Formats: sequence, C-alpha cells, structure tokens
Amino acid sequence: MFAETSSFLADLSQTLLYTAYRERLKALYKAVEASDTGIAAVKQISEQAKQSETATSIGADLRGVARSHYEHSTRLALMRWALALEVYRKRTGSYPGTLRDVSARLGWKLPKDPITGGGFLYRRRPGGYVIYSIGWNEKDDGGRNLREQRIVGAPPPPQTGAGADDIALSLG
Amino acid sequence: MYTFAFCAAQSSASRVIKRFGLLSLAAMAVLLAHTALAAGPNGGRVPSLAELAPPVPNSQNAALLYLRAFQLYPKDRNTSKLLSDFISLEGAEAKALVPKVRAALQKYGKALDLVRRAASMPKCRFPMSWQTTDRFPYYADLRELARATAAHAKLCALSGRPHEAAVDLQAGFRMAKHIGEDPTLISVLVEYACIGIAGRAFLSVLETAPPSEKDCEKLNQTLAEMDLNTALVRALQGELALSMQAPQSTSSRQASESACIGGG
Repeated sequence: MFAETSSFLADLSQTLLYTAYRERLKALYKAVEASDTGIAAVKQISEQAKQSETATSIGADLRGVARSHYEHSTRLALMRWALALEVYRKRTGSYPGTLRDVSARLGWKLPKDPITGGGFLYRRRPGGYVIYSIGWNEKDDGGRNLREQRIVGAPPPPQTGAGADDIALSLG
Repeated sequence: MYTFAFCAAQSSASRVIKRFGLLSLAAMAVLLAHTALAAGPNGGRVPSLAELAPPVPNSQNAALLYLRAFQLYPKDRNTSKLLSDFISLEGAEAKALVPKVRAALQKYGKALDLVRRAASMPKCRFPMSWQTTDRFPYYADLRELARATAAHAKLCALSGRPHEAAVDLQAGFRMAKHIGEDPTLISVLVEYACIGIAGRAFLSVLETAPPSEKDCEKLNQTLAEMDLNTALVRALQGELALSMQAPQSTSSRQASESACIGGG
C-alpha cells in the first residue's frame, strides 16, 4: 500500500511539474507568435510568469530561451547587413554613410532589428564600421556589450552604464 | 484490551480511508493535469511528434551523411580545444596557431567533404526513438563538425582563399539550420551554439578575405533561409508533445515499444 501510494504521488508530482512546465511553454509559444519584437515577447513572458507562482519555481528558464532566440536572430540579421555592406564597398570603393544608402543601391531586402522592431544603428569607423542593435535596455550604448566585449570591439562612449547590452558587429 | 483493539482497528481503518482519500484526490489531480496537458497553446490540438518530425526520403536526408562523417573525424579533446581557440582568437594569436590547425584539419578532410555535401541537402532527420533517454547522441558530434567547418573557413581566409572560406561558412550555417529541424528546445539551443561558432568565423573571413559579390549574395540567401521563429515554434510544439508523454512513461517503467521516427 505504502509503495503504491508513494509511487502514485511521485507520478502525481511529476505530472504537476510537467503541467507547470507546459504552461510556461505555452506562454513562450504565445509570446513568440503574437509579438512583433523580442522586447514585447520577453515582457509578455515575464508578466505571465509573475501571475503563476508554480511556473516561476520551475528550473527551466524559458525567458532565457526567448532572449537567446531573439539575440541569435539579431546576429543573423547583422550578418546579412554586413554582407550587404561588403557588396556596397566592393561596388563603390567605400562603406556607406548611412544604412539607407545600402538598400537604395543594392535593392536587397534586409531585415529589421528583431529585438526592437526598428532599424539597426550604424557608424563608420576608420577602416570599417560598427552596426548594432540597442538591445534589451533600449538604450544606445554605442555598440558596447559588457558580456561580449571581444566581439564588439567598439570604444565605449563616456556615458555607458553598467547594463550596456548592445548586440553589435564591427569590422576594422 | 477491547478498547485498545477497537481503537487499533479504528485507527487502521481511518488510515486506509485516509490513504484511499489521498489516492482518489491524487487521481483527480492527475486527471485534471492530463486534461490541462491535452490542450494546445491556443486551445487547439498539440501536433504529435510524428507530425512535427515526419520521415524524410533518404535521397534528401542530410542526416545520413552527417552520420557517416561522425565516423571519419578524430575524437580527441586537444584537437577540439585547438579548433575552438583558433576560431575565437584574433590577429597574431590566431595566425600563430595556423600550422597546428592545418595539421589537425588534414585528419578531417573526408569528414568535411561529407559535411559540405550534407549541408547542401534540403532536409535533415536523424533516426530517433522519442522514448529513450539517450535521444540526442549526435549533437556533440555535430558541434564538433561545426567547429571544424568554421576553423577550416577561417584557415582558408587566412590563406587567401575567400571562395573556399565562403563555401565552408555556408556549410556551417546550413548545418546549424539542419540541427534546428528537430522539434525540441535542445535542438534549437544547439542550433544557436552552431550559429555562434559559424558567426565567429564569419567575422574573421569578412575581415581577412572578404568573399566575392556572388558569394556574398549566396551567403545572404543562406542566412535569409534560416527562419529561427519557425524552428522555435516547432520546438515548443515538440516539447508540449514530449511533456504529455513524459509522465506516462515514468509510471509504466517497462519500455513500451519505441516509436522510431525518421530514417526514411
């Protein structure tokens, strides 16, 4: 009797755990389907997590999955822009002054920033450029990301705060 | 004595009743939980794993070539670390590793040929049993091959061979896309890791040996085809389907007949 009860309760707790996990999966699913931007999706997931005590206790951090998803989508988008900038440079001999010049000259359909839904920021630098998304804090940190300094390589602007989280691609 | 026996009987009966009560409450909770599980994110039906990962004909299935490639590359940690360092380092530090990397990659020659062929194929479905715990033994091998492909792209760029570098970059990104075709969160996370690996080589290639216009256009097309949203939604649907199956599989410990998916 005892063995049956404990086995049954073990199954029950696992079922409830999976139910909570499943609720979080559904929340992420809905957020990704319904939101145009990464910021909106992550906000929606956070609000749903606050409403559900059980869900927040589950180890699987689906908000982290959502952020990773949008950050990698942003990296892919930045790489596409970098290819366009390279083609522009080959055709004209130099990198463009603005990103608008690229679309106009090449006629390529290039992606928006998946995190903010807006355009990427772009600055020319000696021998190259930096192109970036302003990231989750929605602030222009000059292409600086404290987690990824090696990739970014852009000098920090003086007002850069501790939460700099731009996602950038820089050359030169 | 009588009182004691009566009390003992009463207490035993009450324990049985309590246990039955507990069991019936538990049963109701399980029933409710399963009912909640059955609904999809928008109230609809959750697609099954078989629907999310339909079989792929052998002629279109990159997985079969990746599996052959796994047999052909040297599996040792030193090589793996060397390639990883080479991809991450820049400038003189990366150049200093070139002779060692070149020697190491010679052992990967046949495996990389297969990876390039596999990456050009339209679909990828590894034969998989969804009811065993060892579901994804191939992800570690795929990451290793992603590293070797990226390192080879960077090596080509540093040796002044931009077209070969671009071809390898394309293979790296397409392989990442293939990984994301499995309907699980772990597959999309491995896909992101492989995008990160190929992305680091991408920057080196662009900086040291920029591809031709034609190759840039091809690479742009490859990246445009990488729809991470679709991959994530499919993965979430797969996780929902797996979360239905998981509690059931723990209660019946005997392995039920494996539902093998794929193979074509």
